[in-house]
Amino acid sequence: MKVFSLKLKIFLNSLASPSRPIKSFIFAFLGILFMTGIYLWLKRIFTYIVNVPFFGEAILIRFLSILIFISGGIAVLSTVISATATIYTSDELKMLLPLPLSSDEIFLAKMFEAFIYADWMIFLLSIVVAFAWRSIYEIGVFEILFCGISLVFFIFAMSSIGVFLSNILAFLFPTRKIRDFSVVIFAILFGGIFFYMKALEPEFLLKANAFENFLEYLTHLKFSGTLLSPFRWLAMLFIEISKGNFSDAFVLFLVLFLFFLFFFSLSFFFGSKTFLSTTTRINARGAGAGIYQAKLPGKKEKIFMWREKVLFLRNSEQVSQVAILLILITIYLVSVWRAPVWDIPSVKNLLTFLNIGGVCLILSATALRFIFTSICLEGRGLWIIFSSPILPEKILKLKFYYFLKYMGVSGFILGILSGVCWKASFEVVLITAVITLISSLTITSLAFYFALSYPVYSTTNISRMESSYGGVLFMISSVFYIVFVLAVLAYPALWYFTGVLFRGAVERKFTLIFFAGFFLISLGIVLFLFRRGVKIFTSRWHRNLFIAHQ
Amino acid sequence: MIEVRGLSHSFGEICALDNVSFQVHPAEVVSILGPNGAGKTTLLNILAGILLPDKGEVFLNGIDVLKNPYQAKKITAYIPEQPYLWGKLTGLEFLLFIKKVYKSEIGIEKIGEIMKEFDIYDYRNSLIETYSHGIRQKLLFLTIPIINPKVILLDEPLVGLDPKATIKVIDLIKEFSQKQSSVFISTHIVSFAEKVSSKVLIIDEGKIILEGNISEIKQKHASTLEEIFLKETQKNE
Repeated sequence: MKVFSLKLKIFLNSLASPSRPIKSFIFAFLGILFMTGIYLWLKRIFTYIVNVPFFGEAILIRFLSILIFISGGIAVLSTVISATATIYTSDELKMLLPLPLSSDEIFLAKMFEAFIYADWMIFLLSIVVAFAWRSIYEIGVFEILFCGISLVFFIFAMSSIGVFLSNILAFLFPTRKIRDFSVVIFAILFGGIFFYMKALEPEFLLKANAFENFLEYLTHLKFSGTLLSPFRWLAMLFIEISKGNFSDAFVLFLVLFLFFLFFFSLSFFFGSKTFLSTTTRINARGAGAGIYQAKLPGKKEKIFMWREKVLFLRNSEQVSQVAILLILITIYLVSVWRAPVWDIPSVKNLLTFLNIGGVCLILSATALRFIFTSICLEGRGLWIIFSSPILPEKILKLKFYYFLKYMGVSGFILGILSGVCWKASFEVVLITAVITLISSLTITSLAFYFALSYPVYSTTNISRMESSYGGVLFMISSVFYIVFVLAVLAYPALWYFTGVLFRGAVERKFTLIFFAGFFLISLGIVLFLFRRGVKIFTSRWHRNLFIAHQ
Repeated sequence: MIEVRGLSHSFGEICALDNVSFQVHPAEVVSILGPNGAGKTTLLNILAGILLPDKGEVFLNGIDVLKNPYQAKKITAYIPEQPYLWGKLTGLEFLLFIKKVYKSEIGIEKIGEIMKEFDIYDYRNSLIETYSHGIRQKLLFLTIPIINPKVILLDEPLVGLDPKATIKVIDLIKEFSQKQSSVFISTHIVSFAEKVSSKVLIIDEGKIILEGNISEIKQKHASTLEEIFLKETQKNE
């Protein structure tokens, strides 16, 4: 309990004196806005589903089961990701382990910490789901509390599975890289299941004609699925509570509680017994054998980019993220390839144009993950650059060109690939690829600007960098930019498509003028953001604001 | 030669340095002593060109650090107290990186030799993230012979070093002092300051409260340097 109360005190202290009240306020405001949006969307979806004649309830149970399944899956996966860092490699252990505390107590506190880190967002979103649910079924506060407690047991049971999996992985492969390996393994598994499902075409598996009558079909829809699924237990519990069937709901609650108790005990028993030995083996210094090697360049300036490349490729966390990104892009492209689209060239071309938004979003996420965090990760090593006989502006310029090159190539390739997957005409594929290329340059400069203006040096945790003030501002600006791109290019796209459809000829002159204008505006944005960012960064560093505040 | 004139710097309302002036001549080793938070690290950060002061001037071998930081950094070796090094580089790669950045003429064989002298040759191909604090500190000291600087700035140089490495560091300081380098050291360890320096500065609350030749100061106050340090810094409490 000592560790629990200490953790609670740290948390309360951080709430009582937020380091940046204005930023916290803006963050809270954006969060509430986001949750309100989700609430309105869910309310609409629930209302729509429940009003579908005959099938309403069946679809609602399915939808709820899917939501619970996704939440449970996220809880397992995010616990696996956060548990290794929280339980076995946390810096805090250096302070906790020498204290006269039993390893059981430390492990239990760390286990709950991993639960909280992994699940807080699910709990926050479940409040929104509860409110949306309430707008469909008139249920009271007691029922909501009952559902809430059941959800906590369910999510903690899933997180216990996550802790158990990470305990096993850490026990079998005691290395600090275990988290990254498990992330890649899970991503490959997820990708494999996705491709399997795509190949299986589940939408055609259940044939309505195979049933004797409509009622039989409806009953099958409502109650299909295994009774041994905890996702289904929770969904059924919500439905029973909403209908006022408390006795059935209580039985389901007991089943869920026992399910939680089993996995919690299992992961605690195994974890606490192996905690000390696994921690010692994970934190033992390795020799660093088998590392990526790259020849040192001859020029002084190039040595900094050599360093950038070497540091990136030797970081298993970064490499695992690249693997995940590639899997997600493949999933995206396969989905586009298999999308049921009318076989009309103009429709495919139009979809390819609209797809620019999707590609740009992927590029924004990539920029957030790799460019924004790259500036933040420099933080503690910046003293070497700033005390070296090289202008920091020059290093930043080299770094910027480095990212510009990779992002530009990625944007162009992704534009071409998605265009090809949409089966658009050669001309449209080329145009969209050029647009995504230009957009990728602007997105790079946006990420660079926000990273230089709002860097996070206080942590090496990449997800905390991404969800920082600067990271969120970058994503918001990026989305605005994507909307801007689609809005600006809507005119030439309209001319192009109406030209092809109705006049048989394309007004290339106007289209080209528009594209040239778009290119020049984007170039202006790129140069302005880069120069401004560098200026802010160097002047703040020299005034030592970053050091003083973090 | 290090020349500091009227240096002042504040962090918000906290005054870290208040009109600090002093000189360190070539071949001279000067230590700055002071309690925690006295402004020693801030002063060293300004001398290293990392931090811009609110007011004042700093010249390293006649080069204005504030106006021409690039030239000043070329002749300076700076070793901070708790240095972060890129953990994913090996020790040898880091030293080769420094060699390239400072365009040093030193050969790779010589780098190997000095690594052996400091007992870190066996670690040369291991990632820095696997090093202990002491080995990291030793690695940083090896940048001094590579840079071959005219000015050496050391912030708490003995933290985490074993006795053998401490002797090596003292030898290194003496060697470069004999080569006409100006050495400026910030330290808490009075005995170390007394051993390596000819002159000391005592700083408290951003102000230089005592400055002079060690033997002269001791003679004047008729007590040990440690006692003088305690007495002078307690006056401000």
